[in-house]
Amino acid sequence: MRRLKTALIFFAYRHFLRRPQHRIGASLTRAVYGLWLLLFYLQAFPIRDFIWGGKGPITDTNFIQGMAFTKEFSFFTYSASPLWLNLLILAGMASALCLMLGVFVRGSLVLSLLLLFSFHARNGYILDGGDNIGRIVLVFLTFMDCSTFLSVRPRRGGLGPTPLANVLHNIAYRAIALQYCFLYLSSSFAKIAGPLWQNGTALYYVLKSSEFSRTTLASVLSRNYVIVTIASYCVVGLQVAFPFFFCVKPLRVALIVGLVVMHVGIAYFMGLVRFSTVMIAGLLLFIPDESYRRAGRMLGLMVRRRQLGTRKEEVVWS
Amino acid sequence: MKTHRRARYVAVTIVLVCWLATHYALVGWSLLPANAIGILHGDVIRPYIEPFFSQNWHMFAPDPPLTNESFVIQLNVGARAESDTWVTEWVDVTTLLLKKGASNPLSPAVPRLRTIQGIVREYRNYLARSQANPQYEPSLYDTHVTRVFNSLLLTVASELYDPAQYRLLAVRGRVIFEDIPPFSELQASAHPNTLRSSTFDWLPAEGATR
Repeated sequence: MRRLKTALIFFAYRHFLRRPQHRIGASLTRAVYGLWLLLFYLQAFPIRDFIWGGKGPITDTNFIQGMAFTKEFSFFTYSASPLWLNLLILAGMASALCLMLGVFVRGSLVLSLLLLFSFHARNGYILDGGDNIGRIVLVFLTFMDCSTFLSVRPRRGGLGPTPLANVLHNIAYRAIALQYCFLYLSSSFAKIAGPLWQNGTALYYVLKSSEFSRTTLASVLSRNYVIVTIASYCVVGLQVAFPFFFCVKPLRVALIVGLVVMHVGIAYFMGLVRFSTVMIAGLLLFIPDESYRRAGRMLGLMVRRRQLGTRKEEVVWS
Repeated sequence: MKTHRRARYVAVTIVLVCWLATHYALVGWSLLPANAIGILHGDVIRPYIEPFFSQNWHMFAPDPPLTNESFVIQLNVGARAESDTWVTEWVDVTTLLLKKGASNPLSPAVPRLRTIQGIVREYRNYLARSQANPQYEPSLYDTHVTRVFNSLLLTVASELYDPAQYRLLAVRGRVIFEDIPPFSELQASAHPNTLRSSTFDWLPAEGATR
């Protein structure tokens, strides 16, 4: 019993209480989420009356009746006036900007979450998988320390995180990690059940789809059966591998790089820019702080070497 | 005192870890295909998952789309000054949005297109359900879906004519399906485009509510 108690205390201390982990990644994720939210509002702003206003197909009456089925929360239940819509959008943009800059982070996260739920409830048709994972991650991000880095107003060192804050931060990190595991596992299992993914031809149909194929290069690539087959299997392979390789630290960064490349490809060839942005933002969270610091040191070294090289040339020429 | 505080934090950690395990057990169960436990005990799982943690990761799964769809509408209008009425040509309301979205993925055309496609898709799903079963009784949700679709027709139609000069008598929609050439025909030089369509009933505009 005593051994169990010691083991539990050691486990809790080592993984949750000692210090918040992945703070650089959390700050990076927060900043990119701010950008993602800003893009959401800016993209929809010119046609806000059509997609969220009473003049669009989802009239205020239709919206209120639809809420009876979804039972979601929405600020739009309080008022149907165009002024209220504009106020909510401006509040959304302001909170997104605060997230990007790292000011009033906790308040901005809560406000962004409530506004996102409100807009999603007002019109669920414009959403994609990125909106789904975005709002789930935002819930957990609210409990994380994501304002220490990349902030106009970083946390002051004197106060420091409390053990309770450390616990919440680390639990929230693991919640997001598990969410990504379930996302990729569920998506890959659903794909594996499909005959087109099984025979490696699925990406051909995706790249031929008028909705998701935007470049001439996509059309050219879709005609190459080798590329289509390998890419189809790579997509499924990366998603299946995520939950397992994630636990193996040496493989984690390679896995994340592979997934980032996949999502950049989705953004470029399929035009799902916002979806890829939010997925990549979440993946950045999983890179350890030490990897970021090492990358920062290497970058600084490269910059200094270049500066030294330039000065040597100046000395030689003079 | 320090021991008590440490014990409290450890207890909080254990409680939160237990919550995390339960949370993802419920999330995992909600993501499984329909099964006996999920159906019989859905009233335990669903209230927790929805709406904050609702999720669906079937993106292009089990199969990607095999057809390209476009939505067109046709108007029956009458001139205000005269008693003439006529039926317009079919007007494509989605292809231009697709092209704008392809050239700029962050264009406002994308959410507009998704709204139109989403509403049409839900309405078609309702029609498929009702046609599959002759005894099908439309639910409240089906009525809501029909109302939203009718509202879409009237909204899009109102952007296509000048209400000062014309009055809208009726509007109807049609979905045009273009099959993507099968992968097995990849090496073929030319594959005939297969087009199909599904036309909806006329919606009288006069007296219709949005």
